[in-house]
Formats: sequence, C-alpha cells, structure tokens
Amino acid sequence: MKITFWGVRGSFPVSSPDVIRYGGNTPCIEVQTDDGTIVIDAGTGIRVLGKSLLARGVSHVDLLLSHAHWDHIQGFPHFEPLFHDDVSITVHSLRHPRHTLSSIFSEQQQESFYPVRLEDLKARITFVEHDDGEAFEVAGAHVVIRRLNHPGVAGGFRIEFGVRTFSYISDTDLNGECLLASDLPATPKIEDIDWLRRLRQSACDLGQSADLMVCDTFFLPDEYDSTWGHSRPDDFVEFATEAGAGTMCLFHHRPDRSDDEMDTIVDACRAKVKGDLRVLGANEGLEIDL
Amino acid sequence: MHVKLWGTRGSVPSPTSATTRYGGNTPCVSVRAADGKLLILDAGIGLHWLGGELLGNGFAEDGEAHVLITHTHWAHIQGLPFFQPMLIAACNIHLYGDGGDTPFREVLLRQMEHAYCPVPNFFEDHIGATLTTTQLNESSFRIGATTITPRRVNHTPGVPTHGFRLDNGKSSLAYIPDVEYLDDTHRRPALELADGVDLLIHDAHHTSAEYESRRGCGHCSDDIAVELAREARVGKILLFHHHPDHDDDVIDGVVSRYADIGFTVEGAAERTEHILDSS
Repeated sequence: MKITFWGVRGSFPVSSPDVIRYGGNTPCIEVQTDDGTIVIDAGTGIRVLGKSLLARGVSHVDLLLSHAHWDHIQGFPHFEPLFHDDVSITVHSLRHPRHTLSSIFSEQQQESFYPVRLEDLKARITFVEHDDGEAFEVAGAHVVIRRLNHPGVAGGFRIEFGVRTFSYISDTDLNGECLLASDLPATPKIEDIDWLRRLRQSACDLGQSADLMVCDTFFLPDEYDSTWGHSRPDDFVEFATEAGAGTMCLFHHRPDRSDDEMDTIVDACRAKVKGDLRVLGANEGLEIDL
Repeated sequence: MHVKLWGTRGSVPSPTSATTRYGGNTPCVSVRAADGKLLILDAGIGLHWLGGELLGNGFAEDGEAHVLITHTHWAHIQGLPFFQPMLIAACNIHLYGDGGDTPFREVLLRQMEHAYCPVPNFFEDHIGATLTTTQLNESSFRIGATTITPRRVNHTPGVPTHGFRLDNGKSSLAYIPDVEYLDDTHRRPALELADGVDLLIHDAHHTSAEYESRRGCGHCSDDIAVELAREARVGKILLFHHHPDHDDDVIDGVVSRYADIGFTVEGAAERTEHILDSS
C-alpha cells in the first residue's frame, strides 16, 4: 500500500510563499494498492492528482469522502478524469439523514455555482452510502468507516491491505467536551457524554495498531476552540501512542500555519514522543510505502 | 482610488511554488475610494487575507465594506465564509450581486448550508455583522462619492455575469474578470465599461494559442483583452483571472508580448497596489 499526499491544508486553500513546502491545497490523499486506486477526500489537491491519474492511465478510482465540508469536496468539479467517458468513479461516504450523497455533489455543480453540471460529466459516477461502522472492500482493501466528533456528519477510515493498516482520522476533536456530531440516532436517548465516549471509541477502533495514522492537528493549545471539531498535536501524540501506531502524520494544517511554524510543531511532537512512534508533518508530494 | 489585488486566479485556487508571484488565490480586489469608502470586487479566497489586513487596522470597531460580486460561480464567492469581519457584530457588510432566477441572497445562503459549511450562518440577524444584500441590475448607483455602473457581460449560460465601472470624477476603474466576446454585441457593454478608464482589470484566462480550442467556454485570451483595452483607450490593463495551470513563467511570457504598444499591459499580481489618483 502506497500513500501519496496531494492536499494537506484545512479549511480553505492557501496560496502563499510561506506555505510552499507543506502545501496549500485542501485534503486529498491517494492510496494505491496492488489491486487499484483509492482516493480519500476531494479537496483542491484532487485537481493535480487527476492529471497524474490520467497520465498513468488509471480508469477507475474509489473515492472515500470523510464528510461534505467545502474543503473536502471543492476540488471535485476540477477533477479531470470526470471529463473522460472511459473513467468510472465510485464515491463512498456516511449516510446523511437529510442529504443524499449524490445531491451533495450535484448541488455543488448547480449552474449558479459552476458551469458544468454533474449529470453532464462523461465519467460513470456511482454513489454508495454507508452506515456507521460498516465494512466494505475497495481496490482489494478492507475498509471500515466510522463516525467521528466533528460538526455535522463526518467520519474516518481504516484501510487494511495485506498485513498493513492505514488510518485516516482527520476532522475530529478527540478530547473535546462538546458533542458536535449531529443527526446521531435519537433513540434510545443517550446523553452527550455517552456519545462523546462512543465517538472517541470509534477513533480508537480506526487507529488501533495502524502502520500509518493521518491525524487532525489543526489547533495549537492556545488557539483551541471546542466548537470547531479539531484536535491539537498533543492530543494525537497521546492517542497514537496508546493505539500503538507506527507513524503519525500531522494533517489538516491551519490556513495561517507557515512552513517554519510547521517545522517547529513537528519537532515539538517528536520531543514529546516516548517509545517508537514516528512523527511526520504531511506535505504535498509526500509518499509513504507501507 | 487605491486598488489592491488579493486574488487574481481563475476557477480554482492553485497554490504551488510556481504561482507565488502572480498568486494562486481566487478573485478579490479592494478599492479604497478617496472618500474612505471600502469597495471590494468579488469574494474569492483572496477575501480572507484582505479581512486579516482590515482587522489589523481597526475594522472590528465599526468597519463598513461594500462587496460587489460579478457572478456566483465558486471562485467569486468562496471567500465569504472565511471573511472574518462577517462574524463581528460591529461590522457592516453590504453585498451586491445577481442570482438570476434565484434571489441573490438565497444563492449565497446555499453556501452556508450546515452540511457543507461549519461556519456560523452570519446571514441570520443575531449572528455577526449587519449584512445587507442588494440585487444588481444595470442601473448605476453611488457608494459615497463613487459611481458604480454594472453591465451584463457574456460568460457562461445559467448565471448572470456583470462587469463594473467605478468612477469618481477624477479616476476610473473597470473590472471585467469573466467574459467572452463571441460577437460584437458581446463587446459593446465591455467597451462602455472600459471607455477611457485609468485601469482595466480584464479576463485573460487563456493564452492566445489556447483560445481556439476553448472557444465558447466563457473566457478570453490575452490578445482579445489587450485589443479591447486598445479600442477603449485605457491607461493600463491588468491581465486577470489566470488559468490554474498557468505558472508565473507562462504569465511572464504572455505579458512580454505587449512591451511597446502605447499603454501599459501587466499580469495581475497578488498583493500589488495600483494608485489611480493622488487626491
């Protein structure tokens, strides 16, 4: 399993000389297995990935969508393979109680907002909605999707291929005291604290013994806001250590975080690690062969 | 008029090491009029960084801004949720645009839908700034001492697109970031907006070599933009709405073709300032 980072920035794309090493594109990660290509999230990084996939002749991808916030879908209309009739793409995400997965994408491409409608794209697009905790097979890999604590309906993924495991746990407040996930099953009524515990357990299940764990490290401690649904580097150093992860990868960088600040944060994390956990800061172009 | 470019890129932000000089943020231009009024042309991602500068200069106390939106394609509105003054109660933000068959305000509200956008919905009265939305038509109107003239221009079907002329009697600016001229009737409103302006900011999404294969997609090439500027007798033209695949060197190459043509042709570069009058 080979992981390639095409977009690592959170909230919105950032174009600035201060972020060119880590990169300014919003989230997109490519996971290549021996049997196929998985793409996680469709931030603006997917635009550049699309050109690479076409150059490599890849004609089918499974897109795993963590959630529908703009920074995770805004690159989709600019994904060139969609304009090719020999391409097929299957989009997987959590079932949303009020929006079908296809409507999430077709509304983004309404003519008020974009000149090409979803139904006019040449590629064959299939949408598959999953329940919390559901397991499925794509590109020969075993995938599990789980809800996480983030505003709205958001999830993470555990991807197992052969003996290797990759976990994507972005966009969640691991230790937050606010229940931000909405539209949770209403009955039987469960207090917020129980839901927080359950969602935390979901993150643990996704991350257990991962060879590589992509982590939400949006906030520094003095910036932390419990209503946003993002974590701090220290939250994940502790979490990844407890999970027995091999490598943790800082991800979903705050828009105003410069390359130099990122270097400092990565160094500080490494200094805190006790044990064998390896720490990386995700940058555009980073490739990790598991 | 004090003009500053915050976003010059078309379609989608293109953050790479090869786009740092001209910039990768989507369209946003600030215009500080001589009477102090702040006008903002389009609300691409560049708007976020303008917001940071405004807040650094006391905007949170009672800031007022007038945001003129040419059309509602993503690249021209996607900065609104990330414009921090929107969440500050003492700020007054006035949005002008055209939603076509849908009320303008309703189009903007769709961007705030909770499933897509975790930012508090500042269109609700009790959240953040005082907001007004005004449906544009082709009637001129004034903001302080500046007269704004909107004109419908040809872009893509399904979304009404305007260009703007800003004029205060001493200096003038035309902003036409998304336009294609398929016949003379399409050129007429643009020539009217640009007639004799000190500064024209104009669509040059394609290179002239690329244009024929992309004809009908709603955008211009550099040579078409420069020809319109010549005919309108502008003082200076900034080639704008750069294609996301065009790096700094490509844009340099385009601009270098127009070194000695009697007026100034530049590639629109993020964070550059253009002062149109000394008053």
